[in-house]
Amino acid sequence: MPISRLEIPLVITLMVLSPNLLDLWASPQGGWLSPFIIWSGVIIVAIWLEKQRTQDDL
Amino acid sequence: MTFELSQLLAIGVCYLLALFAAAYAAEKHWLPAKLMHHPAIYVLSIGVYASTWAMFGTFKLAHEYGYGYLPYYLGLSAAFLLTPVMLSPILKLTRAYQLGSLADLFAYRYRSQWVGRLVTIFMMLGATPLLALQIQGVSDAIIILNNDVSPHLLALSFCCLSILFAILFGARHTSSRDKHEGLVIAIALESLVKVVALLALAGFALFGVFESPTDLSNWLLENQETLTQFSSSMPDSTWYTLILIFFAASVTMPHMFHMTFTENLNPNALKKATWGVPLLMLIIAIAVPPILWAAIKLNLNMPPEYFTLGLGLATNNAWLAIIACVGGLSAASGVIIVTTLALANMCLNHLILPVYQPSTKTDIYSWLLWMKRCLIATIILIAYGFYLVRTGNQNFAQLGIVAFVGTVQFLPGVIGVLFWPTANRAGFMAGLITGMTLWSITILSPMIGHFNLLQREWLPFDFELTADNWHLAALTALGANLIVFIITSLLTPMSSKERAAAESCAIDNVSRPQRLELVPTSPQEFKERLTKPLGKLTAEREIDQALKDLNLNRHDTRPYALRRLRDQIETNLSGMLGPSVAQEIVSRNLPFKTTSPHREDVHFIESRLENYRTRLTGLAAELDQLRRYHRQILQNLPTGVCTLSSDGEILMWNQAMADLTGINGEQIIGSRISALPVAWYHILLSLIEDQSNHMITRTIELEGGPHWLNLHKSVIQEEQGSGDIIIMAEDQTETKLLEEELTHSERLASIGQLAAGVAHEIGNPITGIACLAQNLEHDSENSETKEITQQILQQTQRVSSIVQSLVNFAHAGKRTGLDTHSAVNLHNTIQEAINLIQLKSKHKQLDFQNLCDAELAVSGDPQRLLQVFVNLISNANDASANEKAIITETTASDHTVTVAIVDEGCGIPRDIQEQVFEPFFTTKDPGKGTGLGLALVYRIIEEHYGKITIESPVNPSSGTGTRVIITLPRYIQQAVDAH
Repeated sequence: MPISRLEIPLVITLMVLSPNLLDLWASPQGGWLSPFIIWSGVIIVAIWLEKQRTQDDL
Repeated sequence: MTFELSQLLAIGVCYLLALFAAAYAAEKHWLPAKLMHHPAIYVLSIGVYASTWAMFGTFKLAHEYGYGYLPYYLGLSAAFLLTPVMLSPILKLTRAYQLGSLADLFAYRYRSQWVGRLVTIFMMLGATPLLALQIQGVSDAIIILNNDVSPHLLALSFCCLSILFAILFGARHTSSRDKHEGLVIAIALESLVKVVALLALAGFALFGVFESPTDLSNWLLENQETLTQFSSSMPDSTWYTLILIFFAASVTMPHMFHMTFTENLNPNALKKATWGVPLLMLIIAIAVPPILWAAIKLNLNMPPEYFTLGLGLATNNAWLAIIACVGGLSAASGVIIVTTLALANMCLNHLILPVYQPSTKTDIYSWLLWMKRCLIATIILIAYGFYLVRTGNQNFAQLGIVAFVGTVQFLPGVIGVLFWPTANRAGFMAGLITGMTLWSITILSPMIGHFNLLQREWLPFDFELTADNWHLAALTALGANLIVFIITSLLTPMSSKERAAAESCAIDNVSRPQRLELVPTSPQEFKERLTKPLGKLTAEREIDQALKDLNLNRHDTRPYALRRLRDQIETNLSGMLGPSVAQEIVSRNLPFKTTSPHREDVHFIESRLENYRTRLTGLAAELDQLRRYHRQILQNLPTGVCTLSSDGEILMWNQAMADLTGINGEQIIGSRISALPVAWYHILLSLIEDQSNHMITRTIELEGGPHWLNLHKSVIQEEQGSGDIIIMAEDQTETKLLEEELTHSERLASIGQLAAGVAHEIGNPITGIACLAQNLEHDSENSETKEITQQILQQTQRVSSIVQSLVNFAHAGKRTGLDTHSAVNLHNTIQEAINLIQLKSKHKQLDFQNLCDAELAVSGDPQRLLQVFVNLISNANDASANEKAIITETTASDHTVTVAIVDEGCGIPRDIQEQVFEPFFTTKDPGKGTGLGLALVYRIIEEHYGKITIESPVNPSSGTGTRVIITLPRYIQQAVDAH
């Protein structure tokens, strides 16, 4: 499962680093949107990975 | 601003009816199938996860901990981002083994009905607070909009409405075999309503309360200190614990399992959900901060949970308040309906049916339906009871945490199913009991005032559950669960059935169906055996349905077909009674023979691959192409090939074999060898039983006559010893006939040589004897002497005649050098032969009919062809009685002419028909014939590149008559000119 080998460390890394986002709460100038922007980026990567995945499942 | 209760009730009922209408339209297939199976519908249906927690409770967390509300969304998103690791394998298992709930999954994997019961009971315990949370959310929301009504009465009314709609959505029909397309559409619509409601509220907050996003930004800058005063930082440990429990909820929560797996209409939609669900969670989550800050700006004097309602009330915007209320109702009703349906199925399949089944005289379908309805009502009322007895100060978050921490205790079991084949039922049950016990004591019981076990003196430790230490209790319970699970699994043995189930559940397993021999041998026997547990009518209905699903004939007794029928019956019964009960009924009443060895059902695997063909891509598609190419090679071999299993089941039958035997492969594959026609059965059986791997030129009597076959066999070596047998059958009939003809011709040639030699040696002495006899007759006056010399001359003439026949026969093999392309008119030649015969046989009156076409001519030697017809008509004359007919007639094609000489004589017995063309073979009395006539005819016809055959008797009823058929090349003038 080569694609999943990319996803697992990606997701785990994001979850481990996620508490660092807590300080951005209520940041003015749109800073409070940062976690959501990172989240959107992860979704875009997931879309790309899903398209790349070779469908060898029976 | 307040709302009339009747208004709120009307809005609620209308909304639920609208959902039901959408569900009804889906079930009646009024909606396009493409829409129903669209991945977006599937993703929205998973949005059932966003319960009243998402509409109300999340604002409390955001108010206290800022981003501390995000784990609820991030946990689920992480689970779906890791779909290939966890969710896809579970989906494959649920589809392969018809597992409708987490209890079914665990009961299958750990091979124990007790596991199913335990999981069901604990799931009820864990999910009840979640149901109570929904009831609280709706009742509190309505109280805020109209505070004149008793909250308990309101909650009860909501429960009754929920019971009604849960039955309408999931327990309306007698058959629970099919997935509920209506429910999926309804839940998807509900999720859409929630998303729209939240986005509408967020939009109002952003552009109504704040004038623009810039205005919000400025406000945040001005109120930075105030906001940070309100919110405190969530400890990392709490953050990670929340992410873990919400991650697990994707599988362990009953409503999530139900919508993700049980009601999945399109397996490919799960791949889109990998990013679709995180996107949905993002949209819902991003709406929270603007709404929260707008409520803070408006200085709403209410618990933060109800800020969504407060926005509309504070700004006198009735529609906004109603949108928020409908959003909350949508969230609550979705969770209640789906959770209740899932729990009702689990209770029916694991608690009730294993203990009590209706009598065979009862309509089982109706009984199941009403039992399900009663369970739905009971579960919702139990949730109402929990709502009443819980201590009143818990907020949304606390109620939700209780439920999620309770159900996270199933996570170790899920990990064991997918990744740890050594995990066994003892370990799973011990771990689960440990985890749930600690959860009950430390987290559940404090919710229920009098039953708070933490306040008991007998407890060996002091612990008071607070917002700061609940995660320790949660992790302790889960940790203890995991440790006990691992240690017990390592120390206790595993049954063989568990081992087999563990292998089938392993994440990289490819399901390989087994080919085992069944005890029942026909669909009728299936019906008789299932009558005892199901009743006659139900058994008949289930068998007929399964036969219809598989498109099988009710008289099909092929072992392959019976195995498929058994699997289909088990699948259909699983949908009705649950997989555990279905499996028990089927394995008890339709068992396999205990002596049959385990073999893979290759034909079934291949037919499944054929069905999957269009969906395969990448490496799988290439492998399938390779398989099909090799299969095609076998199918198109010019030699007949078939494969038999060691127990006599036909596994493969190629096209050449079908042409040779006249038996279609599709009809015979999966049958036993004994189902073949008798002749083929005996010959293949004798090959199988023979020590040698080859049988050369074996005769088999078929309808068209005898056939000669070369048979070869080879055994596929198996580790266990006896393997499948490959048989090759070569049809040698044509070769055999050619060989016989060649032998016949060679015999004729050698006899010809012998005849020539004998004729030459005998001729001279005979001539000498004749001369001496003539001299003696001429010189003697004695009458007695003259008489004796006459006899001598007659005998010498007779010898000369025989010598002449031999010489003619010998010369027949030699090329005369004459032009063989001269035209011979058949009518005239045959008429000449008839005239000669009529001269010879004046004592017999026969009817000679020359019906030959006067224009037809053949290429050949006129004298020799005359000899042929003289011999044949002479034989017919000798065989016929007085006043019988001898008919000659011709037919012609472009290149050949066929002459038939038909008599009404005594006929030629079948057993000597092949011998009549042998030299010196005769049925006449000694001295009446040389036995060379037909041998000469055969030789002459061969030289003319023709063919001669005999049919006798012509009249089957009387057994008389002979037809001699000669085929000769037609004389064609143009061909001669060209030559």
